[in-house]
Amino acid sequence: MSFLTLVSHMRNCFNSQSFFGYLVCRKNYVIICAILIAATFVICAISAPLLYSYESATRVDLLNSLLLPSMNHLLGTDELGRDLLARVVWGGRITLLVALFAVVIAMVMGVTIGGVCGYYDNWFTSVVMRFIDSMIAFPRALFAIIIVTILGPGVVSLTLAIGISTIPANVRLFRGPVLALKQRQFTTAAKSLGASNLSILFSHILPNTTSLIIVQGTLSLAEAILIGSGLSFLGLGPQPPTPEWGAMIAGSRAQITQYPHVIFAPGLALFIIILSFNLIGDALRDYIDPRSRKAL
Amino acid sequence: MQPFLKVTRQACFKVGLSLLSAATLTTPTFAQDTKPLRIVQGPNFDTLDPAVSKSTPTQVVLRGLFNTLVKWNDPSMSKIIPDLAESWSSSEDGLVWTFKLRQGVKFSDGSIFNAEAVKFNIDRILDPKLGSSNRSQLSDISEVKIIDPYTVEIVTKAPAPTLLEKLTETYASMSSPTAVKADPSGYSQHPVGTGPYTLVKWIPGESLTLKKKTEYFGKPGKSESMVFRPIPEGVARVIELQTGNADIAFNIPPESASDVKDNNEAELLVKPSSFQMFFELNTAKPPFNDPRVRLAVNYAIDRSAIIEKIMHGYATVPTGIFPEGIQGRVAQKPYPYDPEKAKELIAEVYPDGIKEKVVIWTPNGRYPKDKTVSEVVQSYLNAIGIKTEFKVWEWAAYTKTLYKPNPGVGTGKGSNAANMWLFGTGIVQADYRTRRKFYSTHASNLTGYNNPKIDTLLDKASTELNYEKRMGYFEELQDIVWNEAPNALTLYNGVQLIGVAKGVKGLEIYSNEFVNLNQVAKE
Repeated sequence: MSFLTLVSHMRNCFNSQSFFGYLVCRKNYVIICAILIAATFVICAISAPLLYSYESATRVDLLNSLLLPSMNHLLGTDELGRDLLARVVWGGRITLLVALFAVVIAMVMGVTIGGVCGYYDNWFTSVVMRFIDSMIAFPRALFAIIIVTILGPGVVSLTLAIGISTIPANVRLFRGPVLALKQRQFTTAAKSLGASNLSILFSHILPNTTSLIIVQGTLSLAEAILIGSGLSFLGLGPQPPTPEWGAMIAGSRAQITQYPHVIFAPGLALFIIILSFNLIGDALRDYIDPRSRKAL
Repeated sequence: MQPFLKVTRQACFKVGLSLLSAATLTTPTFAQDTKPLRIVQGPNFDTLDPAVSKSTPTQVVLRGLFNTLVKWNDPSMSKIIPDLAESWSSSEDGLVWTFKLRQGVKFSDGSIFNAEAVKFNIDRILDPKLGSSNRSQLSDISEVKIIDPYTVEIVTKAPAPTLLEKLTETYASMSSPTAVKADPSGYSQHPVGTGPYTLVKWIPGESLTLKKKTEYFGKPGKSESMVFRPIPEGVARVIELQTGNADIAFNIPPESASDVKDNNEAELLVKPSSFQMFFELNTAKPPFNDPRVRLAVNYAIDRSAIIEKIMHGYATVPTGIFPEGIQGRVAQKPYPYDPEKAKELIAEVYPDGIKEKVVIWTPNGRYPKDKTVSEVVQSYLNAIGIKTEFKVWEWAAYTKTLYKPNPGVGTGKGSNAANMWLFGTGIVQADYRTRRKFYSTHASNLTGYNNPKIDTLLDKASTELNYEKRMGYFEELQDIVWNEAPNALTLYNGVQLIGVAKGVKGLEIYSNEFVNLNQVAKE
């Protein structure tokens, strides 16, 4: 039931006046570009094994190190003679995968805890909320570093670290609307019809936060990519030879004066994808928020 | 109320402004007056207590503050000459060494240097309470006797052919007993010695300033003052040099060497080094418990490619476990790059190939290009069919894990989780360099290397007073551990890269990467 409501809600969002149509109407071509770029990255990441073998992204070939871009190596090669485009594509696969799973963890946990803590108001939820508040006191990156240090560097622990470190902010974010929605008349109506607390929460209140989930999800995807690359820049991400953008930047910053193309490849990829997700997130917020939509 | 408030705000603003201008005006005047020699190094200083310190960058500073009883004549290290001791002699059995001390030497706190100070300093290192890691170096000494105020006798437990060499080391520096006794726990921040410079101030992590002493028994220091700053990032050190913010930059990363070379305001000094990089191989655990596999991996690496591409030519192919500049060095035939031979050797031991994963550990940022070189080695090992697992460590956690005793498990000396781990050493003394890596019961022998032949050789060498004969034992040792049973996968010999501003002269550069700056002047 709740899932169906969600689907119908999303269908309303996109079909009655689709997001894409809305962008075209507003002549917002920058966002359209951003969507296309992000889509390209995602498609490349999914089809990485078809584009390049994992071996071509990891095989060391010292004789061909630090080559400039050419037909054989479209972006050139890095210090160890590995094809940079292959590494950017494979690195993107890992970077995006980590970010995606991290955001899923953060959203699921954030929405659940935030919803429950907003809906039920008792001593237990206030203890939980104070605990969440104390977790927010930690800078996010530091929090993530602590988690990776405990779990040991690697893809899984990186994902968990980013995900868990995002939960507190999400809990706070989703608790607010739930507190407000709880007071609305449709909640009272559902209650008077005899609906249980859980069914009110999950089929009446949370579907009303879908827009928030979509916007927050897109925006935190960009942030998750940034934090993930930051941690792996510090050596806390996947271990060599696994390609990862942050680690690639860390590895090539020593050659920045002589061979800047090596650091540009992952750096530019990171810059573009984060910018795209941020632009899309902002546009989605404007599109979904009726007030800012009317303003145009 | 309003006018009062206004006045205070203005007053505050004025006071702030005047303070700001005072600060900005005084700094350049100070710099112009004294023209300090500005030096940038990689790591932070660990401690300024010479008895405890074991980092080369700190020793560079300590040589300005302290003297030792004897010292090397120059970077060729061909002769030991007097420093605080004027002359010395040894008994025929090599057990008693008598030193005549220089008279009229004063510590910078005004106290007199005499036999009592020598006894105090040596006893201090030997006291387990100090917890100095240099203690084992002097553990052969059984007693220091004061004969008269300027004569001292050092008695050793066994004939000690290496005693004089050890007394040239920074840890054998003479500290002022008065200063140490006055503040034993804070001495590492306020060192007092007899050297040509005194410490002005040390702000850990930021800067350390030395000033020339007016009264010094030897050749006085050349520059009026020196300012040392730690800058961990190699590229950042090069930038400091290029922008004229530093006169001497240590440990130039190989990839930035050409930046220094091409700069008209700077000069690149390239000096040989006793530093060698290698992967230690865990001999307590398959597959490296068999010496044939240890030899095999040595054939699997293309060292010239690593040196040319990763080190940008600033390294050399090892010809033996001793780089040039180490006592008793005998050049061995370098291992050729021969993956076929490597595969054959492995097939002798493992006809079906090595099944388990070889775990590779590497630090990141401790040695030049450490992690990158490890990645290359990993790929070379993969190429001969060895499956690998890779782990990058932060240096402090790395040594802590590797050196944590683990009785009964694997080598017992340290962690048994890895099969190979990256290390480098620049130790110049043949005995110390080999003993800690090869002697079966030594605590630093992390590979668990156990070869009775080598133990016998090291035992003989430790008591042999004849220099030629003693070196003969090390020659035999070098042959065995290179051609028959290595304990390591040797990678390359280092080269020292130091950037200096134009006109800076007088650096005394030793092959163990120690640099004496006392006679450096800027023109």
